Amino acid sequence: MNNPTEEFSVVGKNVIREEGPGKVTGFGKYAIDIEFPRMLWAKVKRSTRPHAKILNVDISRAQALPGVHAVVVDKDCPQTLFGFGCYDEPLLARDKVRYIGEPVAAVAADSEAIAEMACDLIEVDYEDLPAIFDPWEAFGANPKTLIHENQANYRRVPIGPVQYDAKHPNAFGYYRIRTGEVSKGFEEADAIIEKTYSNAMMAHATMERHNCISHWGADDNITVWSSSQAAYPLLNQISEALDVPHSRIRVIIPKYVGGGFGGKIEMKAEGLCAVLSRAAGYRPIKIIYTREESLCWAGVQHPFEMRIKSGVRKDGVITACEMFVLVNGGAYAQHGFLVTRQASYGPLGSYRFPHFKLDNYVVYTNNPPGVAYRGFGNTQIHFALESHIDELAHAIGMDTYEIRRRNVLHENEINAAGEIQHSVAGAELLDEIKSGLERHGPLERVDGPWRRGRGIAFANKDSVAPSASSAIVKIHNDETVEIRHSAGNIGQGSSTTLIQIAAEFFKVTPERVRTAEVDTWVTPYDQLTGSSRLTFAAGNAVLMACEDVKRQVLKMASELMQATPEELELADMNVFVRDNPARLMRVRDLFRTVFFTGSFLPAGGELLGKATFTVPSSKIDPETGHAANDGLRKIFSFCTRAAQAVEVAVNIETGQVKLEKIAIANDLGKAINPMSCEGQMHAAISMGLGQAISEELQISEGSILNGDFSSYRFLTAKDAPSNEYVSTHIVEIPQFDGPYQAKGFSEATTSPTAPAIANAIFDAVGVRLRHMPMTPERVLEALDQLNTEN
Amino acid sequence: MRSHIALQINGRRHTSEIEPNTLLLDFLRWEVGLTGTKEGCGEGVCGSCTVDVDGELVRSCLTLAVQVAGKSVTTIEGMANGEKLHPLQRKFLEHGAVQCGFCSPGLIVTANALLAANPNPSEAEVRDALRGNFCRCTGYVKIIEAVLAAASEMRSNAHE
Ligand code: FES
Ligand code: FES
Repeated sequence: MNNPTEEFSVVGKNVIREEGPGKVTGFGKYAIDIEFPRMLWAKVKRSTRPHAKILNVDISRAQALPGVHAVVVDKDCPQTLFGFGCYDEPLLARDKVRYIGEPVAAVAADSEAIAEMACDLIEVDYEDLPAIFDPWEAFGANPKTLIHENQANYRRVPIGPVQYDAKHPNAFGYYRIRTGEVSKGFEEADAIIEKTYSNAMMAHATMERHNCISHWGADDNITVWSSSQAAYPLLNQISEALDVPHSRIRVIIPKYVGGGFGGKIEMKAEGLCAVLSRAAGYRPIKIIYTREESLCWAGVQHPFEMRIKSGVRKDGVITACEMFVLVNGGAYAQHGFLVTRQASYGPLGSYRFPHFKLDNYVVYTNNPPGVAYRGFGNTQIHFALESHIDELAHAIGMDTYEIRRRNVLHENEINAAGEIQHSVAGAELLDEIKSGLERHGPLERVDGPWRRGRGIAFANKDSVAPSASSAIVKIHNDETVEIRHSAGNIGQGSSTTLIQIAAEFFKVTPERVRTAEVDTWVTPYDQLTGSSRLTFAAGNAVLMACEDVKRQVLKMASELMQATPEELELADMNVFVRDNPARLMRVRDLFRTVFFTGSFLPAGGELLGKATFTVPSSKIDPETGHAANDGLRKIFSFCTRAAQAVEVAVNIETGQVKLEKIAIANDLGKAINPMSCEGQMHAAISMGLGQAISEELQISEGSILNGDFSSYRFLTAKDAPSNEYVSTHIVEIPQFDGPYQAKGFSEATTSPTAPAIANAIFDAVGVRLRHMPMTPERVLEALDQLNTEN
Repeated sequence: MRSHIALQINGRRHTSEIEPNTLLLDFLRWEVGLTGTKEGCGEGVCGSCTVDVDGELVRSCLTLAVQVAGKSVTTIEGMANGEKLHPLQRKFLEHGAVQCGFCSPGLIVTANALLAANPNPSEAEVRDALRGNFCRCTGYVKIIEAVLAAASEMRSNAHE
């Protein structure tokens, strides 16, 4: 696709991000900042019961409140079900509620305060049903309650084995992988370890809360401005929920979005606000979720239970691995089944398993629904796997780097799911973190309350396939370039990445390239801002669209320059004869001006390149989870790998864990913008660290106890190590089919942190924490247990 | 019953009639239209709503607009000098300290107050000053870098 040896002028440079000035001056408008004339404010009345029949909803007092313009319940909504592969969710609770926080009714009023008052005036009569919160209880063949009685009839996307199994009537997703014969592998092992690992529920905690404005126009078109991270999935969900075709829905995502991390993929209140808009006489409706709604009921990270049994030989070779994973999906499927699928393959992107067996179920419970969360389940899986690998190393007395080196996959190796591995970084990453941490000198163990230890972890993240992304590239009459793409720039800097890719292609400065605001009536299809796919998929689409517009330019110029298009070249918006560069014309001279109405292109309408980039995948055997041996052997678009080494201090009196030093290495093919890449990598010491030691939505009987920023323990600049002790290592192993050989990597930045810390805690004080977050209470409890044992 | 309020916002006099219970944050965002000041939590914890009132840092989500009547409020929109970015704003861009940017206004206003009080802070002092400003994206590394770089530039500008 391009020449790796060429010198780049824009790719690989620390270009300042396109939307940066709007952010530092405060002038950039996020969705939360937008307001329209005649706009009304919405609030959602939410369930206070985890599982209950709705006997009656009385909205009369709310409707009578002055300033209220519309109150809607389920019967006012289209009687559809929406979802993300498993279609199970109504806009407002239908007949029963399945979690505390489920929307039951919604109000539009002159102000937020009036809307809230109106919600308080809505009376809901419930009849409680038995509720299930524990995934094991939900998983049984005869659970005490069915959360979705009608599950067998739900519409689903067919991926993997049959997803509904009457033997597990609360399970809604199932994946399995089978390779070799694990019992044989266990026979070959010198040591066998079997342990269970788990994690608590965590919030995305985006700084911009979920919000939108929906306007059902008098012309019956629906326009939505949203803080969403993914325009087209949102468009599709609104379309399904409202039963309105795509062409009548316009989704606009401002250039400024205050974080996503997977928490802003699904539709939140966009469809509901459209219903309110029509009910309120076609007025625009704005909703801003409260911090509690945003933390608790806009999707959370799935709690996983992960039982791993593996065998290892004395020489460090893993002989077999058997995993059983149970995912607490919460009350609606949302992204649960995809998270389950992605997580199932997680171990196989890291290591070689001659014999491997995995069963992974996701179950409905009466907890709030889980959604995608940076890593799509890989964070949880790698916490378990990397802690486990450490346990294996200790069982055979082997160095923790060494055991990983022995087992990491190599370039072109076929993994335990029959997938061929490209652009594999293994030993390279381990070398980087080793030297990165050792740069700060050896570990100094000291007595006293603070004990020090070191730990490492490896991780990977596959990016989804099939995958599709379209792009349009327009050259304006002033020779600036506009990229129309629907990549949600949620803070990761994707717009600037695309700008650098196009600027490099045209050999112009990045200042001469801009991106259009995401608007589904203007910008073309993109599958999803997620799965670390934008640099790769959107980047390739933009490059292809650049090629397309270049072809048009050369063809038009050839007619004016008495040369064939093949003889011409384009650089810095000059078209010139390759063998005689003095013969040239400027792109702007393709345009013609008559009178005083500006310039136009005599033929072809506009200089507009268009392209779609797609990634196919192989057929997957639902029984074994293996890719067909079809010459492609592909399950995912690409795989990115990561490693981290940490030094922690553990206080044996208080249980507190401090991250003192960290070395972070990520493999990303080619860093298009190294500064941006490093920024993503540093998420390890906020989100990764939070996940490891403090962040947890405390839930009891389906009710979240700490849905606010004063009690949800968000880490600050004081909790992070000094910059001097952070070393950041970009590892570039070319991705052969990536744009300028780049690939995405941002999800893999937080996965190694928690297991590295768990391993370091073990190194420091000899206790193994198999549940995250590893809070002071849990550390103390483990230390107490250790002392009793001794 | 509406109250009259007169104050300076980013160096300009502003008068309005507002409900006396209007928060300074909502007043700035929805009455004045300065949406650069962000609301992250609404309970005084995250720092995104921080503005400067007569040289003091104020959490606008915890402050009534009428409490700042007659005072001078500086928001993020008032940090640049016309087209010229404040050194903190520029360093935030040059060091990649901005990702989703939702925390940036509060951080820049807070860092500016720190540098006014302490032009040559250590890293630990910067971390201490910014401990009340949540950032979900950056891990704070580049934010700290940017503040230290801005401090050093502002010191050398002051000596010129
Ligand atoms: S919004 Fe004021 S401190 Fe969070
Ligand atoms: S840059 Fe996103 S919260 Fe700080």
